[in-house]
Parts: sequence; C-alpha cells; structure tokens
Amino acid sequence: MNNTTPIAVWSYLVVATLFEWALAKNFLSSTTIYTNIVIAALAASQILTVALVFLRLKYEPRGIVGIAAASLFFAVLAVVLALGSIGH
Amino acid sequence: MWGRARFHESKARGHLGGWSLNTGWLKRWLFTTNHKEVGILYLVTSFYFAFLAGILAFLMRTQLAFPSETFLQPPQYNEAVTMHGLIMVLWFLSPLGIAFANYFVPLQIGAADVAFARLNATSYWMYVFSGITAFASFFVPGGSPASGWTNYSPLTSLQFSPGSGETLGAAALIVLAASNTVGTVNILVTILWHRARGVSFVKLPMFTMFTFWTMLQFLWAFPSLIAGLIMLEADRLLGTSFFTSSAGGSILWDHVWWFFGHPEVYIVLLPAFGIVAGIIATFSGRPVYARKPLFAAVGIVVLLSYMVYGHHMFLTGISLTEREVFTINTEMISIPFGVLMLSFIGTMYKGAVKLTTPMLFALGSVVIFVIGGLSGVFNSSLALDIALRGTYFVVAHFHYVMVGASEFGLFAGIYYWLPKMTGRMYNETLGKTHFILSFVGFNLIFFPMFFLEDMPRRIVTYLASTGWGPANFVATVGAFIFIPSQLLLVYNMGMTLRGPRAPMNPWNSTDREWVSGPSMPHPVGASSHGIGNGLGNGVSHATSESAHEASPLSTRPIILCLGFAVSMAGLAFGLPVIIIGLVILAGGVFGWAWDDYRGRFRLPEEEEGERWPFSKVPKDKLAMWTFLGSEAVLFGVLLGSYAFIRVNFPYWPTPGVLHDVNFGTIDTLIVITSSLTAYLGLQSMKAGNRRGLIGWLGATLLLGIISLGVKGTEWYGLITNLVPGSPIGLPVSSYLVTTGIHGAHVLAGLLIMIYLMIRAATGGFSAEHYGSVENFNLYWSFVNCVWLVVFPLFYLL
Repeated sequence: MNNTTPIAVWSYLVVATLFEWALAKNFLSSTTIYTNIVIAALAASQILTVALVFLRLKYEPRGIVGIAAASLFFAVLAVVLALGSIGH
Repeated sequence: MWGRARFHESKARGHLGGWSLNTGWLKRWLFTTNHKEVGILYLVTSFYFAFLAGILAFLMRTQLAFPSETFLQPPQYNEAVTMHGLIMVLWFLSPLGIAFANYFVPLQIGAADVAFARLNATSYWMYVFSGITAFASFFVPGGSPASGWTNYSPLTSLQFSPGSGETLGAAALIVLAASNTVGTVNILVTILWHRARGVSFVKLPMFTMFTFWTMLQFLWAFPSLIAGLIMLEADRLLGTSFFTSSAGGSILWDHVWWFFGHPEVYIVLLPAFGIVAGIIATFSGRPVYARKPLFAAVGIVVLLSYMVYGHHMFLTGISLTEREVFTINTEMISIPFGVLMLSFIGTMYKGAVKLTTPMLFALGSVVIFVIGGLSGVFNSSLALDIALRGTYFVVAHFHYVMVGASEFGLFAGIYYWLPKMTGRMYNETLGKTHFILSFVGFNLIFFPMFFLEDMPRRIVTYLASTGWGPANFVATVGAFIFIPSQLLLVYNMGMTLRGPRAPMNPWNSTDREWVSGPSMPHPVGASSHGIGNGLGNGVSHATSESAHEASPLSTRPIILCLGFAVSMAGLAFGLPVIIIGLVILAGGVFGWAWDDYRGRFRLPEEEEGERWPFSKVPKDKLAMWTFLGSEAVLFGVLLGSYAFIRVNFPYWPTPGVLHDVNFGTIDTLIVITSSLTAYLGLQSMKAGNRRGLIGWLGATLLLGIISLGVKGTEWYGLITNLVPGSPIGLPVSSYLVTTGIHGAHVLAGLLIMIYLMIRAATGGFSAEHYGSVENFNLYWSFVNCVWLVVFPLFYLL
C-alpha cells in the first residue's frame, strides 16, 4: 500500500467529521431522527475505514481478523444485553 | 548488579531438587521468569490464599453451627463471607489453573517457555500484590469489603460502605484483573504461536486445549470487571453516580459484574476439566472419546457463558423477553456439558480403569459436577428461581459446580503431575485418604444445603424454630472434616520431595509433558532429560528440556508490579501513597525499557513450529491484537454502560448543551490526523527512513498532546461547574470516566512514542526490524477508533 490510500482515507475522515459537525449544528436543517441516522452511519463508516486501513485489518490474515471480529462481537454483546434488559 | 536484568542462571540458582540452599535461592525465586518456576510460585501462592480463605470458611461455619450463635458479629460475618468468596474464586481457584498452565502448557506443546517470559513474572507479581492489597483491607478503618463476593450495588456505595476497605478491595481487584489480562495474552500467544511441529490444534493435549478456551474467556470477561471497578471507584472517590442513581444503580452493576462473573464460573472449571479429561484417558488406558466434539463443546460453553448471566438477575426487574432468552440459553448450556460428561464416560467405557489418587479425584470432580449441574437446571427455570433465589439451595449449587468440581479436578492435577514436578512419587495411601476425607467432607458440607431451600444466604444467624439447625450442624461437621483434610495434601506434597524417585513416565501417559521425564526446575545444563525426538506420533519438539531452564532473571517485574499495586492502594490511602507507587512503577517501567534498549533480556529463538492461522504474523503483533481484543470489550462495556444509563435517564441533555460540538469536532480532526501521521511514520521506517519515522512520530506526539489539552479544557469546564459536595450527574459522570479512560490510553501512547523516538534516534529500528513501531501503530489506531465511537455518542447524538 502506497501513501495515497491513507491520505485519501484521512481526507474522507476529515470530510465525514465536518459533515457530522454540520449536521449536529443543524446547518443542514434536517429533522432530528434523520440527522441521527446519518451521523450514526457516518461514524460507522469512519470506524470501519480506520479499522480496515490504519489498523490494517484489510491486509491481515484471517486469524487476526477473527480475533478482531470475535472481540467486537463480545463488546457489542455487552451493549446489547444491557440495553435489552430495559423495559418489561 | 542488582539493577540488571540478566543474571546467569548458574550464578543465581540453587538446586531445588535436593533443597540445597545457597545465596542465590531468594534471588532466583524473586526474579525468575522461567515458566516452571513461575508455575510453582503460582501454585504455592494460591495455596497460601486458600489457607487464608479456608480460615474464613471455618469462622463462618462455626458461627452457623448452632441457632442464635454469637461467635461472630454481623459486620465480621459479612466480611468473612465476602472475602472468603473473593479469595477462593479469584485468588485460589483461577490462579491454580494458571499455575498448571504456566508449568505444563509449554511442555505439552513443545515450547521452550511461554511467549513472553518477563510478562509471565509480571502477571504473577501483580497477582501476589493484589492479594496482599485485598487482605490489607482487613486492617483499614471500617474493615474489608463486606457486600458479598458479587460486590452488589448499592452495598458498595459510600452510604453503606463508608470505610476505605471497599475502595482498597476494588483496587486489589483491578490489579488482579490486570494480572489476568497480561497472563491471558501471554498464554494465548504461547498456544497459538509456540506449538512444536506436529502439534496442530486438533492434536492439542486436553489440558492445553481446555486452557486455550479458558484464556479466551479470561480475555473477554475480565475487561468487564475492570470497567465496573473503575466506575465503582469513581463513584466512591470522585462522586460520580453510576451505581447510586436510579438510571444505573444495581441493575447496571449486575450487568457489568455478571458479564464477567458467569464466565468466571467456567474459567475456574474448564482447566480442571482439561486435567480430568487427560487423567481419565490415562488411567483408562484409552484415548479421549469424541475428541473433536469435545473441542467444539468447550467452545460452545465459552460462547454461551456470556449469554446466560441474566439468570442471576431474574428477580431484578429486567425485561421479560430477556429473562426468557436467558432461561433458554442457561438450559442450552447443559448440552455441551452433556457432551463433556459423555466423553468422560465414553473414555472409561471398556477401559482398564485404575483407581489411583489422581483418578479418584478426577472421578470425584465429575460426580460432584453432575450433582451441581442437575441442581443448576432448577436454577435456570424462571419460575423456580423465584422460590430458590438467594437461598442456601443456590449456595449448594454453585459450590458443587464452581468449587467442588474445580477443586477436585485441580487436586487431581496436583497428584497427577507431582512426579513430573518433583521427580519423586507421592504417598498413594495418604493421597487416597485425602480423597476420601475430602469427598465425604465436601458432601457433608454442601449436600444438606439443598434442603435449606428456605434459608436465606448471608444471614449471620437463625432461630432454632426455623428448623435449619440440624442441616447447618451437619454442614459444619463437614467443614471440620474437609478443611483440615487439605493439610494432608500439603503434607503429602512436602513429603514427596523426600519420596522415592519417580519413573520417567509413571502413569504410562501419552501426553507430551511426560516424555521429558521428571523435571523440577534445574540450573541451566543440569537437566539430563532432553526430549530430542517426540513421542513417535509425528510430533517433533522444537526444544529440549534444558531449553525450559534457560530463561534469565529480571528484577523489573516485581518492581513494576509493586509500584502498580502501591499506586492502586493509594486510592484508599491518599495521594502521597499514589505518588510513591507511581515513582516505583516508573522505575520498573524505565528499567524494563532500559533492558530492552540495551538488549539485556534476550531469550533464544525457537525453531518455527505450528503457527496456523498466524504463521505470517510476528509474535509481538499477535500479542498486541490479543490485547486489543480485551481492550475492545473494556470500551464496549463502558459504552454499553453509557447507553444503559442514557436510555434509563429521564432528561438527558440534548447535544450541544453539555459538551461543545466545536471542541469535539476539533479533537476528532486532531485524532484522525494523528492516525495518519503515525501511519506515515511506520511507512517511513519500512522504507528505512529513520528520520522520517522520528519526524512523523514527533508530529503524532504533538497532536496527542494537543488532543489531551482539548480534553483537559473540557474537563476543566465541566468540573468547575459542579456543585461541591453533590453527586456528579450521570451525563457528566459517564463523560468523565469514558473520556478519562480514553485519555489515559492516549497518555500511555504518548509515553510509548517518546520511547520509540529515543530508540529510533539511537538506531533501534531498521527497514527489517520495525515491529515495535507497527505495534504502536495498531494501538494508536485502536485508541483513535474508540474516539470515533465516543465523539458522536457524547457530542452529536
């Protein structure tokens, strides 16, 4: 991987962050629920991009990807089970 | 000389086989990094803690022997119950499994040592100091923790536990959890990366295979405990309100605790069952029945262990849907355990079963587990749990499953491997007497408790009119048989050192550790039992037995761990103690880095063996990824806690009210830019450009400092707006703790960067050797990934 990819990724991350900022500041005048969905999607894309390129998961063998995926699964599981207990 | 890591073994080591003491004896045991010696240290220390916890059990059973007894006062009884549970589970049973893992996993897979010898000693000394810290809590004002081994909220709050013992106990648990995380990464990498040629995953010996799964549980369970304890300490010391508010409170603690606590049941059980599986095969003269299904079944246990914990919360008011899910999951977990039992029975079927002491203990473990497991089916029922929750029926159940089955299995391991560890045979008659007394004593203690299904747990006494007296008396008689009978084991172990010489493979086992013969740790070159070729089963061992003795000594782990434990204890004793601890810690870390810098701690390279699926991954990188796996769960639990309290909180501030979106955005831009600069630094080093590395690392360092400065500004703004003496509201609490832990990670990254820059400036890296830079990159990118989750959650949504 040459340096073009990380710089392109960084550029995307900057643009996405600024877009999130604009949405949160309501400069784009959208309703809250759509704003939140778009911000969540942007954040997810940023995390995925950093994980794939800067954490280099895209280039790692399956064993490493397995460790990362399993750990993410248990991290998400902790969130889901806690939230799932709310309500009757 | 004392400040140096590398001592030649022949100078420092005594000869333990003949118990001849010389001046190097103490140095050797304090500074050893050898996996066998660390294993022995773990074993002896865990027995010491078991002795202390056993005394507490004695006190409790004496108190409960008769109705209206006043032998202990309620506060003392609560302390005894709490510390007995904590010490037995976390400082005895888990570490005893780790002791065996240290000693035998490298032998069973043909490795010279564990993957990271100094880290191994580090995890041991953290364990020791955490135990000392925990016991020190007995001597602080207000006494030790007294809210049960589960540390249930709000009993741990300042309102109900105003003394510093609770703070100290939580600090001890954090140190212990750190020890377990370090040890887990080490043993996992050992199993994944150091297997000799021919030792594929399918061919892993039973104990190593069970240990592998156990370590995965350690990896993903303990971060939840750490996260919970950090929030608890924040509540007690900083005035946050995670566990004292209605939006978080006891339910949040239950989630955080049991996400760790239920897997912990299997963490203590599975190594014991790994030992049991191997022993049953050995003494039945047959290979393990249904080996592959057994492997899969243990994996399913590991997965399900995180999905059943809600059965501890059936009566807390969690949603009915989740209660039903947890009921089904809990009942499902009996299926893989059924596979385990069938495998054990199948192995013995038509085998020539020899009832030696190890085999008796192994069978005892299985019988006790079956009794406990059957009673567990009742506990999994949502309906029955309403009647049985918080009664002695539950006490009986978990002692059968968690304690008895584990303890008997681990004791089986001690007898089984004593000839290997000492080179001498134990006394079989004494061993069998120990088994009979233990088995009878254990069942006398806990079986009557099944009939006390209406007696509440944790009560200090009861009236004669309740009718609980006879069962309690029998249980106490059992305790007076069971606990003293353990002295027979200690005596037998001691006498074994003077016993008759053991044959090389006294049990005719086919497991790999036996081919190298009896092997108490010897001085380098003293071992005459090189294993050379393998077992004739296609396994070629990468190392000889003498290679197991080659690990150098290091003073750094003990200093570093002492500093860490003292600084954590300072949470209870005040800022001066924290500072003293941090100074010692800094000394240890600096010495460690200095040793690395000067190349003073080097282990011989091993011949490459089985590394699937990590054959192209350097060892350090695998360790970093494993560590990041545990970090992911740590932040997952913290963010899950945030989500939980936010959903429960009735009037959470809208975005922009509490936190300045502009600040968050600026910080995010800094963070993502630092990912790029760190990455470019790595690319520079790969191209052999050392100046480029230093430059980019310098830029990353600067960005990290600015990022911390931005956070500091926000913290200052929030803290100065707090009302003195009032609890900190949940929105601010969650922000301070989450970003505080993230900030601590950034700070650690900055220190690593400074070290890397110094190393780079002095020629420490090249285009071929840049592993540390790459590992730092992974760490830094991970920390930045976490921020990309934190930013929208706290600032934007």
